[in-house]
Amino acid sequence: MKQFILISFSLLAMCSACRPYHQDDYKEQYVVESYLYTGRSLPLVHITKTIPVQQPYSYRRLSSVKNANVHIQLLDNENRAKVEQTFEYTFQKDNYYPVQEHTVLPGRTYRLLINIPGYSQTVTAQTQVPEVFEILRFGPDTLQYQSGEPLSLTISASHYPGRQNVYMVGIHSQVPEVENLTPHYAALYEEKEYDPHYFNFLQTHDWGVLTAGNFTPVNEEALSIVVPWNEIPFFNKNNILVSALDDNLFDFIRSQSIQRSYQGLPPGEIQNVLTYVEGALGIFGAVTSDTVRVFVKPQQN
Amino acid sequence: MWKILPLLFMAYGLVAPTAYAQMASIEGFIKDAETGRLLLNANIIVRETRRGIATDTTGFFAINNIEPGRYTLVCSYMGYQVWEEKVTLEQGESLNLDVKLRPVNVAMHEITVEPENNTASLKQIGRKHISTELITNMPVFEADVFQAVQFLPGVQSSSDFSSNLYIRGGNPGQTLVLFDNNTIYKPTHFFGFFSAFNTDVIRNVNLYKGAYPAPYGDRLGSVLKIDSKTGNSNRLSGSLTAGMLASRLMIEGPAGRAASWYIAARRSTIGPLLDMLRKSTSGIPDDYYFYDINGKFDLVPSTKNRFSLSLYAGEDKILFPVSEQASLTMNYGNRSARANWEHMHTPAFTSRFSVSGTHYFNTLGYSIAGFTHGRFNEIYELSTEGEIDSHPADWLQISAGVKFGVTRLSLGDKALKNGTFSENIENQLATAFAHQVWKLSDSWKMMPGLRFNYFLNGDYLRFDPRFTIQYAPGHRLSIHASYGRYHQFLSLITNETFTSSDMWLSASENIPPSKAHQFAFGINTIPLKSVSLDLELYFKSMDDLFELNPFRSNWAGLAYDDLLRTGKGYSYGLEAIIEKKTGIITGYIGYALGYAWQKFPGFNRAEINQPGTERYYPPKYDRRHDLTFILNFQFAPQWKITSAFSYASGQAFTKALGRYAVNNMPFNPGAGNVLTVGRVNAERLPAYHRLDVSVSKTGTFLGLAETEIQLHVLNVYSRRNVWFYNYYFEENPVKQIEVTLLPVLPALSYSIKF
Repeated sequence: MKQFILISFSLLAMCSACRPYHQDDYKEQYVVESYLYTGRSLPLVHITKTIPVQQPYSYRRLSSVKNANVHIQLLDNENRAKVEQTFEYTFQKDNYYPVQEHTVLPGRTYRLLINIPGYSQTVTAQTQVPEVFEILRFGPDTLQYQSGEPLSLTISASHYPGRQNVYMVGIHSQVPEVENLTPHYAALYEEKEYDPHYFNFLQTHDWGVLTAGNFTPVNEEALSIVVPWNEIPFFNKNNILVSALDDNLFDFIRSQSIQRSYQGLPPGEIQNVLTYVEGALGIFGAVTSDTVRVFVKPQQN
Repeated sequence: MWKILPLLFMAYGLVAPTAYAQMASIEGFIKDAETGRLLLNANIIVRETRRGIATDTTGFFAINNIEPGRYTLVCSYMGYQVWEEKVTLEQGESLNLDVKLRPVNVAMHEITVEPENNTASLKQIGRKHISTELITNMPVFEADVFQAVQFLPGVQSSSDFSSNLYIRGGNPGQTLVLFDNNTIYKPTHFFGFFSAFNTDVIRNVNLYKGAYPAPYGDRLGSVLKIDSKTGNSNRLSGSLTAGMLASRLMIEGPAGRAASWYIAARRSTIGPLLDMLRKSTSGIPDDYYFYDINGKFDLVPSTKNRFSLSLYAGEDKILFPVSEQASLTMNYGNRSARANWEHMHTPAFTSRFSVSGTHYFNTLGYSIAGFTHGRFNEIYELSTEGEIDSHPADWLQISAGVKFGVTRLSLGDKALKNGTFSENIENQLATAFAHQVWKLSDSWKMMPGLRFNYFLNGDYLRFDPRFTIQYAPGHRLSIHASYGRYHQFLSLITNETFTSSDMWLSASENIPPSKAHQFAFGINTIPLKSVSLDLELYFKSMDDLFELNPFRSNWAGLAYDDLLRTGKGYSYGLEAIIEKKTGIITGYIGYALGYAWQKFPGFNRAEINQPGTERYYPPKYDRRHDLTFILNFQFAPQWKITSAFSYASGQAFTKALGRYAVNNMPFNPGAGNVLTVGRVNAERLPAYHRLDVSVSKTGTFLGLAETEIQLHVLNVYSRRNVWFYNYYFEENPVKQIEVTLLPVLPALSYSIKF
């Protein structure tokens, strides 16, 4: 019996002593941010660094990576290893700007290349710009909030390699005033004790990531969707912005949303946001968008 | 050829020796003398030969192959007076004997059911019996089997808000919960605060924490088997309990000479409390209720036949106001029915046949300013089973069975009445098992078993060998070692907060069933009279664990397989329990040391952008050390105090190391705050500890009925245990906020038994 107790306690002591899973040390990393918009000029590139979570954060203060060598390359459509064109960037006032003019082409692949003096790795990221689509029909252009016909959008079908198309539908208020808040958001604004950050946040409200599966196919060429009333924070003029996303933005947004909300993960478990920048963190994304404007009238009493 | 081996093995079980024709045997039932209720797992021993057996799930026992002669039979059952009788057995005689045991006192709660009787050799590895007395006396909101089970070493809860069972590093979906042998898919009520089982009808609870034998299957980890009692076959009786969260009523009685029945109902009575809270606190549900109903009818027309019909229905519904124009609705529950016929062909050979059906449902809906979104999950299961138990020789017991089932699992998602995702997985499942107990000598026992499962959807045929060997040199020591392979075709998704949004998934053509190997080694000792000490070591490896991919929250347009991620894990640990079962002071001290690890592709990478650098990480519910004290003190005939103290090292959490922001996002610019983390769940919350105390007094109501009043105080010293940390970006620097668990809470209940 004594032997048995001794063996048990020895086992216990052995198991208690081992701790094979140590926390990583904080590591400073570069962060890049740049978004290609179809039909617009090449985007600016912003380079910052991470900071320890317990330190105060200042976006401007961290925009201190001024001596990087930044390029964006347009890759060959057939052979992605082949560079068709290279665009140089130069640093001016917190950001890197393209030296040459170039309009971002839909369906094409771009690569971001950054070399930072003193940093051994070349920072690279690549993305394929979503194909062009357009809002074919929408209506009504004047909505009666929660009582009339809801806003319906019909967009032309487009494709993205390897997956169904992914969209964001943004509702951007053109008259963002407190008295224009729709009842649901007015109640939330009150609940948040009139937080100005929240009010600003509502001005460029988005519906979240939608997939082609959320739309109803009208025919092979078109998809339609009804914008629910709860996605409209403001009465009056609103721009409805429909954007198709590349893989980088899609994964970044959905994983960032999980990190913020714990949705689908146990409380307290945090996973890193999905990012496809080699040698750094951040996002090199691409979107293709179309916009229409609607007018939202308050509900009639 | 290898596919035929298990069939040969089973066939051997059916035709094993049936010799010993000249020997005598004793068979019969053991009953409560007052209610006529059959007592299962009661022990009966032939004193002179020291041979004994416990009654089976129907209260039946049979001791075979006894030399003719005069013997003393001793029958014991904790909470009952010991029964002794001298019998003389003739050559070839089969003595039919019904034993009626008298309770030792008239306490109104159920009497302790303790099959192990302080005999180490009768214990099974990984199995723990939970007495109904312990369940009713535990200092918890509402007497509850799951809350009592959570205090056992090796069993953990995810929080004070959950009665889900996390056993030996497995999640709650890896525990098979059987109520009267029917699978219950949603075993909790009230967001998971307590289980779906009314303690008034529970007769027997057994938990197989791991390495469980071949008669059970379909889960990777453990089995919780809850049997309901039979009705009072002598007179009409019942009980009524009023509690702060729920109240319950149970009525039972005889139906003719050979039959008995009971019906029990429980319903939440939390409405007035919610009404009161709603006046001062926001976020209180507009409407909430749960109920459960149990019913059972038993017919024993002869000693050879026994029929039973068992019914269960339980449901929760909640309407939760999120804001002025937004609400959340949840509705979930189970229904099950089972008809069973048991026939005793000979004292050494019985068979059972049953038909059962189960329906599980869970719907979640929210409405925001006219927009509605819903998600639903349902399982329908219809099955038929046949089993045999045979005791052909003194050294051999055999059980074998087959089961055929049809299941349909539905999972769906809809927005604005339009379905955005829908999957129906229809399946046919066939299982067969053979389990044997070979007594090799007075000290050695071997329990081989084999189970095979066939799952039509995907054409999966899986063989699960199980094996246990036991060495018991005397009644004070037994040593066991076990191995088992297990497969699971369903997987439960539960998020460790509230269990109301749980969801079941199924293996499919492209998603293979999960697989586990379990090894266990245990020592049971009786170092002192009435004190037992049990120790167990275990290791479990798990493969093909499938669950929802957290990054796929929008299901629209995706195939079912694309919603899932598949990973693997392993767990190991040590458990010890010292238990004192008799005397004025009873209770136990339990300790568990546990490690649990899991790994999924794309998660917890050493390099964020590098596939293949994934690392194992502990799930949140992993706790390294877990120490529990349960103490019952009967300080006066009518007064009893029960206290439960638990101390556990903190759960795992992920510490944010760094942060950055992407401020020019095309959508919601300015909302791009991002945390960077290192190893997931590498940090530990502060240690968890809590003391709960319950005081109960029994008495009578105007001399007409027995009564019991119980006062429970949870978290006596109001320790604010940390549930998890949140990071608030609204503050600069980011603020880490503690979210804490329950403060001190009292609860009162009053019961009348008539």
